Amino acid sequence: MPTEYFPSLENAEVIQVEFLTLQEEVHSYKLLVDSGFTGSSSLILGTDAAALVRAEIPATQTSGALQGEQNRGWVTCRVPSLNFQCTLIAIIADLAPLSLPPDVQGMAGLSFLRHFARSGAEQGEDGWRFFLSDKS
Amino acid sequence: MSEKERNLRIAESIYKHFAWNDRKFQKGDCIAVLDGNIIAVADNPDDAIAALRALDPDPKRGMVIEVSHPVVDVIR
Repeated sequence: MPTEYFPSLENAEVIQVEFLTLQEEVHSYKLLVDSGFTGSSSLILGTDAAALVRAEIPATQTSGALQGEQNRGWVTCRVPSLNFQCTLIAIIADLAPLSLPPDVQGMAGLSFLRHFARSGAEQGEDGWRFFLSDKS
Repeated sequence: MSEKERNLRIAESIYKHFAWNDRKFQKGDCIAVLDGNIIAVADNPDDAIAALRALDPDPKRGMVIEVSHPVVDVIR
């Protein structure tokens, strides 16, 4: 089963995901993994990621660390080593309330993780790492 | 009424009734809407977005609605 590994941060699991714009530009983002982020949206990205949106989708209500009505859009993301590419719903919001670690540009939630056969954290020889395994 | 408001009126009906103007949709359908009109129905977002962008390349116009009951996203 093809598997991609991502070195963990000291206090967080992160993954690296590429996004494709309508103009076929590729932008790489480091995203915090949080299976406690649930609902129909798969990702949370900052307002600076608005250029990644391929089409809008009606806003949604959120509760918890991010509260109230949130703008959303369809974005296309991929993990090339896994041959994974999918168009998913992303919340586009001010990320400040999420207190993300430095250099982390958003969040991937449970709806994102469920596109993969397996995901999780494990301790390797070089320390903790997060992994995603493709269904193929 | 703005373009977005016309589109949101359709979205509200689809979320509530899975229908608009007596046209019924299935859960999971992706519906492309532009200028208050349904311009495509697809079984995946990529095809719906492609149909929308073929008519209007501006990503700020139109929307793609996934047929489902609205849920509150929770960020713990």
